[in-house]
Amino acid sequence: MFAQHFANYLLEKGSISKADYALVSEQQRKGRVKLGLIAVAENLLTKEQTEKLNALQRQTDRRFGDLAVESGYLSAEQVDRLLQLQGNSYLRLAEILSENGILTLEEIESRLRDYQTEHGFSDRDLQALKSGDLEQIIPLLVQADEPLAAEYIGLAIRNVVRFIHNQPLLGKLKKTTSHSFGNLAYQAVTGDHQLLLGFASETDELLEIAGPFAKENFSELDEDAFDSVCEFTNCINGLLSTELSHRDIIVDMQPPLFAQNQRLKSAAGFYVLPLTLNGRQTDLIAAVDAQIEIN
Amino acid sequence: MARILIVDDSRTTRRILKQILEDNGYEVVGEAANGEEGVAKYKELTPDLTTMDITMPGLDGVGALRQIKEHDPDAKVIMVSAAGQKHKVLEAMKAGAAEFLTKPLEEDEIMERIASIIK
Repeated sequence: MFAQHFANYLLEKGSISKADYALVSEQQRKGRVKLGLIAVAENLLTKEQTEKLNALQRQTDRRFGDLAVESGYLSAEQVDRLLQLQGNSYLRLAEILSENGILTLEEIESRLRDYQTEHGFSDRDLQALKSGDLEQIIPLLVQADEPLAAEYIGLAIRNVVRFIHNQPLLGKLKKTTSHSFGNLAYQAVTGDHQLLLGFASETDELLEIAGPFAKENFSELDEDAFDSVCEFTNCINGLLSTELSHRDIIVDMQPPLFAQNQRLKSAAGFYVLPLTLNGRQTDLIAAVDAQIEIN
Repeated sequence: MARILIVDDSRTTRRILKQILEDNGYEVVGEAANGEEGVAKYKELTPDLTTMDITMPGLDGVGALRQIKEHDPDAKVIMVSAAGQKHKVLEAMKAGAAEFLTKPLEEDEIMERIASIIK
């Protein structure tokens, strides 16, 4: 995740061009050692199972790891471990930039130091960012004032990585009192805390969430596609509710809903985090103990 | 093979669950999108097993479970929810739920839970 973030920083600073950025993104996607090969080398899959999954992947154009889990060959945890073995995405970014003559390793290091200074990160923070470990990366990239909001947003991002896209580009988190949207799928949670989680987009960018979650190719943002995004919010809220119940905090999830061409408003404010998935921007919406109006 | 009724307000979940059940040889005899419809379909179809979402608009899953158990004390109902909230689990257990499934649904878990109920 940090590799995407840093590449985007380089683009914004003019250190790389849009064409470079596109090349880097493409090569990062293509240049990774296939998960199946690593799984065979780790004795987690046989060659035959890998071939079967490859064939399935060709038919369905879906991620190998998802198919392996769905087929019962691997657990989600095993896939996570294989993804770690697949490589550190920051190092891969540095390799692509230098191999293509876009930046030298010294220039990359220099830009990284600029990035560190601008964001006020310590050396330890920087190591954490480069580690690829989401648990360490998310709190550094997404800083919410309220602890519960930070927990909520962190949980949502981890589930985006788990179910939707393994390299989302996170934008700058903002707290706002108003946000207009073209499309919104959301769910309110009531009880000891008043919570709301949603995903919004200007046009049909929510398809980038709907398709992977339902494992279906939606051609338009229809009710079925909305339903998929709603179920995704439901799953995230379920995980949070479970965690809260362990602390004797009781909340009830309300049925998920969707809305179009309206505005979210709250005097107390709520969080908006831009999430770019496959080059298309959606907004993660999170509210904690704030009265939200949608109209 | 057992005849199963799916009650869930999410089309996505109904579709995924139906696919998994049918792939494993079960017959999905009906679907309902809310608690009221679920109770009515139960009475009409008398399925061997019902999967019941907890969070639904109108009559929720626990309310629908209570009505089904009043009508048929031997009804076998598996509750399905994204939340493993303790108070909801206790409420449903008291109302007679046979088992729990957590979303997102996993095929192995579904089959294991069903097998434990339908011997």
